[in-house]
Amino acid sequence: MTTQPPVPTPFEIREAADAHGARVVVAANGPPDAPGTQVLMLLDPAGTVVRRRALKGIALAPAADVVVPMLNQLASDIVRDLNAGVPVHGDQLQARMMAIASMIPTAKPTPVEWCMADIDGVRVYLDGRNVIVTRQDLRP
Amino acid sequence: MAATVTILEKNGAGGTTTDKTSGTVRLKKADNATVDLLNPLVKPASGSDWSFQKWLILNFAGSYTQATNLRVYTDGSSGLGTGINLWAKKVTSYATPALETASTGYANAFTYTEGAPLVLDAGPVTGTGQKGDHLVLAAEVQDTAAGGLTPSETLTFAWDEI
Repeated sequence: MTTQPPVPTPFEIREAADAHGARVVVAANGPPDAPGTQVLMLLDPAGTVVRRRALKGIALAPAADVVVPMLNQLASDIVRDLNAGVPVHGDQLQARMMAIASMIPTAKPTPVEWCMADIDGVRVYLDGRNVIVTRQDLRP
Repeated sequence: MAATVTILEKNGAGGTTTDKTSGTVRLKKADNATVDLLNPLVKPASGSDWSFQKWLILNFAGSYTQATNLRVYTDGSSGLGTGINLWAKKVTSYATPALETASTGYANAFTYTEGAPLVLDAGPVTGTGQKGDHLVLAAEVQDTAAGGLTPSETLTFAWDEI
């Protein structure tokens, strides 16, 4: 059995003021003091902060596309064996059914939620766990 | 707040929409959003068999300020096998999906990657509704293809948002 990874939380972006009253931009993917929350603060007025979002994995094959041909093959094999007088053992059927079940795709399209700050071409990316600093224009 | 973004497939003369955000886009020889094994592309004895166009577009809902860099791309590697091509282009105004006959105006979908995506709208776009250009896909099966179900391929739609 496989489980889906948790759906990431979008970064929320807001303006705030620092201790000196200067404008800062704050991006966070959860309550400020909650465990696991990532917070990015942009202090430079010339910089920018955006959410970089994506829907990844669109058009994955549904389970039936994978399973139906295999079930058809299994059914054909059973009929062939019965017609030929070959015994069809329950344990062998169970093994083949379990093998088919193990091939069912369970991954679903997933949302990607990043936050990106940019100051003069130097970019800082947050993805909920990692922080990446680069001049590259990274995409999910 | 962040926008709620979905991917819509549009069919028919009226552009009937179907939410495909968590679903499968099935290229077939019919204009509908149903994911089934009906109307398959048939490996021809010679030449190519083409699918109907598949029109996809991003739909924004909820509250947000603006979005930019609406784009779509693949993983850059076609797993469809010999003789099977996936073609892509962008079109601003919707038209009834047609049965495609050639790749004129299209590019190989797998040439669009993270580093070289198909930009649907540089933006900024604001408000709710369908935004950016349509992504139009078409599948081609040539006589050199192997028969049977092909592996699936995935797309990524990405955008920046504040």
